[in-house]
Amino acid sequence: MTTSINVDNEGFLKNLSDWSPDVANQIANNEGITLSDDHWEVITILREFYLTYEISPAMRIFVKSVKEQLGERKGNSIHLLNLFPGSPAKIASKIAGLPKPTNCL
Amino acid sequence: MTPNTHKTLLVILSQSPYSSSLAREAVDYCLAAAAFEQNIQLLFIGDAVLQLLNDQQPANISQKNVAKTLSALPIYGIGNFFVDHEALVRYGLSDEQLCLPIRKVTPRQMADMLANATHTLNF
Amino acid sequence: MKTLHILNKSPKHAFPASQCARFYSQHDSILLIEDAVYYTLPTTYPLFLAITELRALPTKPTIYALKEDIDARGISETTPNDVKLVTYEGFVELTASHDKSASWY
Repeated sequence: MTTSINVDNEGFLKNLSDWSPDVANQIANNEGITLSDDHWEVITILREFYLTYEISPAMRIFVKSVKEQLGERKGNSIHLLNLFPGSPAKIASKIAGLPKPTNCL
Repeated sequence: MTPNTHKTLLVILSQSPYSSSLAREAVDYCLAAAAFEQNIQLLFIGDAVLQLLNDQQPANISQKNVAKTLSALPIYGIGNFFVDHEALVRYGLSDEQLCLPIRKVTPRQMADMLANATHTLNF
Repeated sequence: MKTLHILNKSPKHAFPASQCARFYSQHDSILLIEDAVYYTLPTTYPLFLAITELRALPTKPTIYALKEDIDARGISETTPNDVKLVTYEGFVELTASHDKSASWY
């Protein structure tokens, strides 16, 4: 099933309210990722972060907040790189239906 | 070059939260500076005290919540917040209405902060 | 540490000039650019002095105004004697001779 979703030229949702778990699966498929429980717990953390601060965290704070909630074993860049290869903060934000992280420094 | 620990970056905010994009830009600037582990002080003067109100709900004017993004700054290692006491009084704001733990400063202290800062930026 | 205080708003905005006065330290300078050069008019200059001398200063601030902005607005005939005119080049020199610049708007 592929309903058309309204995304920008980099694949980020234009309207954050369009997000749903189905939409997340669809965006993930476009990225060549099949979402597992490991993905979902990270996506949930990202969405909660955004709900609280209205910021998509870039890598350093992304890792930090995952570590705070899931511990050292999952809160590290290798685990996140395995889940979201390439650019974890950017790709995870995209799947979580959030804006592109700013300050990717 | 003096080490970063001796440098102070004073960010002075003076605009209300939704009159322009300056409030957002100040936060973006601070997040970028924090990534370089700069020693940052934020000073809210004039209308910028209105950025600190913790019950902002700007979704219906299609804006991001300035208070929410400000409250993220401590996670990014920024913890030095100062506010112009006179401006708080002018708008009748009390501590429990503010989104951050913040130190109140007098005009004399503000002038000293500026004089002692290595760099300053006004938003 | 010397600060160059820059004002660019017309005299109808009282806030920037008053902030400049509150943050002023001895040996600082003030530069009027854009619409703030209207502060040099005979009727508004006393107002400007009143605002900037709010704090009892041991020395009077050195006040500069950008010649290009004065000329552009047709008010070069009425520049007060104690306001020093600087060109864009002088503007650059001022920013270099002060430790930092603060813009009040």
